[in-house]
Amino acid sequence: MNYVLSRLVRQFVPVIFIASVLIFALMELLPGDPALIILGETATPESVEALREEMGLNEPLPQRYLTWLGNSLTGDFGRSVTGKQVTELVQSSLPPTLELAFVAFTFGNLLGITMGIVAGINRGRLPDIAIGLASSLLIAVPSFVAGLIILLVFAVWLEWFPSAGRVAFTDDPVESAKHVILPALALGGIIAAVISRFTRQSIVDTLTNDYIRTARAKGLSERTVILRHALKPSMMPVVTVVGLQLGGLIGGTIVVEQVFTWPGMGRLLVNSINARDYPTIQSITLLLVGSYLLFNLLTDLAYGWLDPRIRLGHGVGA
Amino acid sequence: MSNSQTTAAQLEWQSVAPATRKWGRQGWSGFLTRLLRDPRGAFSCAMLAILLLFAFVIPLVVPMSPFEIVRGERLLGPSVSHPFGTDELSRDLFIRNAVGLRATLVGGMLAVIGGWLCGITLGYVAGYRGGIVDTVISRCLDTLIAFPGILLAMILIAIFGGGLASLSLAVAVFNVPISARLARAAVLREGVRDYVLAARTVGCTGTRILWRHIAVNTFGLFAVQLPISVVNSVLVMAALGFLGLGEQPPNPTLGGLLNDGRRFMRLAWWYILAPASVLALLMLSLNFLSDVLSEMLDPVRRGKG
Repeated sequence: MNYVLSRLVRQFVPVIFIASVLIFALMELLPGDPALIILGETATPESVEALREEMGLNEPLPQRYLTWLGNSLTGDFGRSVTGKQVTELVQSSLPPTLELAFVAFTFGNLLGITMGIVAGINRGRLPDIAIGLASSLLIAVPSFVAGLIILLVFAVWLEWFPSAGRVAFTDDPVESAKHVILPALALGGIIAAVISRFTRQSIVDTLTNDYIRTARAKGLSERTVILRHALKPSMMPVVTVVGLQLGGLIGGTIVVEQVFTWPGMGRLLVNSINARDYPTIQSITLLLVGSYLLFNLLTDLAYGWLDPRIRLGHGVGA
Repeated sequence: MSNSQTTAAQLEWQSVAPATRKWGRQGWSGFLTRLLRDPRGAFSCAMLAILLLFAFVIPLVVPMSPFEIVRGERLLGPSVSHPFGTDELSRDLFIRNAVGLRATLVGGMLAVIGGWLCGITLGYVAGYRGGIVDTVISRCLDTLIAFPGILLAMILIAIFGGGLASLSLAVAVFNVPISARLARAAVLREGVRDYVLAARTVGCTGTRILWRHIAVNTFGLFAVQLPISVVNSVLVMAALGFLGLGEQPPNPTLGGLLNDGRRFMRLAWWYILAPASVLALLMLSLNFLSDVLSEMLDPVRRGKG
């Protein structure tokens, strides 16, 4: 419990505080009056002044920072330059991103663990070499390039799947699945590659244990040895790596969403950068950085829970 | 007087850690032989040589312009006169890919060099000075690392505006915390070694100890991380270009070509396939190279191999 507290107080809180100040300050330093941008060049000085007052732009900077942070933490992200509430924009683009990330994460881990097990029990033979090569390819080729190639092959040439957009699961489950498969494939590929490498190594290590030799010696079939004796202990190191993949998903979705015109947070961010919609950029950045830090915190805590040496403040190597 | 100085220099040389001297003796030819003996190393060296020729020599020797618009040659498929086809403005895609790859490589390398110089200096200073300087620098680095790499670059582009220069700057900033942390850790580790104490005893100044003794002994560590940084920087450059950030038409970049090709995917498959293949091959060879290099430079892993 002490470890959780100290990790939270000494790292998570200060870093997210500095990050929020940075995000706020950078956007404040930009030239241009937000009120003028919203109203356009033809607005009268009186209406600009009225909007400035309404948006709180006439308050001193530290007070505006506190107001902004307080509002953001309670889910009120202010007004976008398009006049819409940023909260509404986020509410409509968060579920698609979560859906894509969830499907990609599940698919990547299932595929990766399967690949790793097959490679591990066939160490040095053809399946192992083929899977090793495939995972090298998946790690090396960036997910958005893989996405573009997948898109070209499966959507344009073969026409098996739609090339763009999203259908909500509640509207039409079949169509929804068809739309999510290709982006999830592009995004989950790299996860599968990383997980398969760890799983393979873990299986190989586990299979050298004495109790595996004992199990084989007493005449159990190879299938039972693998499924009943080797699998569970080799999953422990893999679980810790699974968490690390969540952080990487955030950067990946931003670009992959653009490939498949997926209406999520990444597309919202890119569109707001192109439209110079700074309030929206601020809010999305804060959200993404916050969740990235949260994933890292949870992973660290999971490590501490699994390995008491970390929790007690000794280095693993010590 | 001069005699005592010679003695100090000799003493200093003797105090240099063995790693420094071994590094000098090892030689480049032995290094290259070992690199090329590994199939991944051979593949990536050959592929990188082809890609570098494509990026830096083709634009000089092929008498075509990446901007030349020829009437009536819109979206032509690959042929002898246009090996990669033409785009929606009848421009030759072969030369545009070559120039785009060159821009991405140059931008990426500049970003790595700039970011690493800045980061290593910060890290050395933080680690060597310690105290409040270290705390301030380290907290700032923690914050930078809290941003997912591509997001940080996107924010910087949102602030500085588009263009290849601001793109490189954004990617450079993304390299700073990684190299700074590495340099700081290296100084902390090396600073307590006997050879540093010996150098201090013979009267070396702090700056001299830092650059002449500690720095040379930490290069091996950077050599492992540097190729990974190059891979990530080129990747982020291309990704940002693809997102339409940082491109200045009509100048091609690999990412920009991917973005344009995406729009004409149904009409012209070659438009997207060429930059996608170039980028995929580039990333594949850079990844293999960084794998092989890190195995060669890491004594623990080398011992196992």
